Amino acid sequence: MEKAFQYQDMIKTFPGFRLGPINLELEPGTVLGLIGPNGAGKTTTIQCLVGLLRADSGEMRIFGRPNDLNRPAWKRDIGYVGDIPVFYERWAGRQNLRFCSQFYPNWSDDKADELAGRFRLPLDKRAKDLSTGNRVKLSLVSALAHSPKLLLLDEPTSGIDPVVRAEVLDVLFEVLETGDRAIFYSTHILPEISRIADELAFIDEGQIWLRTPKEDLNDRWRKITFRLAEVNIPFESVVSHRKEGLDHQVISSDFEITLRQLQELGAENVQDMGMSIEEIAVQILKGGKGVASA
Amino acid sequence: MWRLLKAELQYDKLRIGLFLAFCTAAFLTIWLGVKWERNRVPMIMLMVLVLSLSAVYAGEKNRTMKKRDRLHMLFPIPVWQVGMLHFLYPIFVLVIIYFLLFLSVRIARPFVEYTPTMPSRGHLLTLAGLVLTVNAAILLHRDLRMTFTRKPQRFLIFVFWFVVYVGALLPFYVVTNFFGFFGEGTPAQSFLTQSLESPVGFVAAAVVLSVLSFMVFIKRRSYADS
Repeated sequence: MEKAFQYQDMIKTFPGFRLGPINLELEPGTVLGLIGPNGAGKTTTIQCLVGLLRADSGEMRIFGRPNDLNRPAWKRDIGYVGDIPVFYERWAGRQNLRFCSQFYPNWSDDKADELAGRFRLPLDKRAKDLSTGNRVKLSLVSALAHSPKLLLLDEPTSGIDPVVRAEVLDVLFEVLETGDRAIFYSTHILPEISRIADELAFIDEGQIWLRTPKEDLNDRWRKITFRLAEVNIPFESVVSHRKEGLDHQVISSDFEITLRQLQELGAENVQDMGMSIEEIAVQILKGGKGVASA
Repeated sequence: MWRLLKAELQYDKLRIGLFLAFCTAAFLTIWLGVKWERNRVPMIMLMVLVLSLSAVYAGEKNRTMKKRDRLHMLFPIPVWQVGMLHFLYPIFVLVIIYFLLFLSVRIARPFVEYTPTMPSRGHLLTLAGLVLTVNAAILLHRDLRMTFTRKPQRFLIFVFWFVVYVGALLPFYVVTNFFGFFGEGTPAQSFLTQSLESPVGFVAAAVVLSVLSFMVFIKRRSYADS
């Protein structure tokens, strides 16, 4: 089966910033979250895939077809919600949707109406009069109404308040759960992604440091506390280590290995605690890139 | 491509409608009120030029500010079609203005004692060439800036366009005998005067610059910011 998308050695450079080489692929029906701080390269990664930016080198394919801007049939398979929703501002939401519908043979007006209803989106208002949250909703409706096989969401909820964000996400997750589409979702708001993603990719400084199933992170990462007299020990798989007297606290990217080592060293009062995806992500991006990618 | 053009025209219909109404009123005022005759043709041309350029520039500026290239680039249409839109829009505006000019002459004819004269075909072609040259130059400048983003490249682009823009002002120096270089009867003056009167130069410049601008547009590094 064709991959939903494939990046092969994709590189994009700007003055003072280099993204890549990116090698990434996604199976159909999978949700991949792209996590990274601001300026990490998330938006550039997605914009290169949809053709808003031209990569310096490398290749990108969508369902087996190269993302060639002169042969754009591949764009029918994608729905994209960017960081800045763009519309014909003086047109009403409905008129904007009607304009978009001309370009997609699979477009369904019924689906657009249904989604707008679920989002409680006022389609008769002009785009420029819509709130930021409603602009995101309009953008989502236009991205979903042609039933794309791949949905690319580039920080869709950044800049909207928590109440509207929760409202958007509730409907979005409900819609996404019912379809069998691949989703590439970039964000720096971690609770969002931990609800929906099957797999996570961590990006920082233009590099993808780790790509892993979400469950693996939950299974392997632990916060471990123990008592030990020995001080200068090189712990395996440990990304952070705090010490107060004989009491230690470490964060391990593979707690079984760390626990085995602690047992060999004769550590006492050993306790391990699970970590949330948010905590793990912070650790990976803060300083555990080496360990995480090893 | 036609869907994009239709959308752009539909979106700007109020603005275009007002603009064309203003053009019609202006032309009729010229023929019926001010009674400009043949020797005022250059003034009519200048007016058409200023009107067309302001309409084209306003449309392009609005499209860039609202990032409509970015919107269009998301649709499953080839990039060349998005690029063509930047040329079809001014051509459409020009055709309509010429049509109004022609219509206003026809309407005015029964009501005036003299024969109002349309600018000649050559003059209209010169005008079209000039408008499309300026349009292509503006687009090319923007596209080059978005294609070459490194500092030395940007500096070279700045220098190049500075020279071009200053060069574009040279014809105006013909009449001021600038530094004696363009004095009466000098080859420089006759060359510039001839090229101003001949449509071939401007049409050729418009075609060359438009093709160049189009090629740069379809090779741009980014469509995200315009």
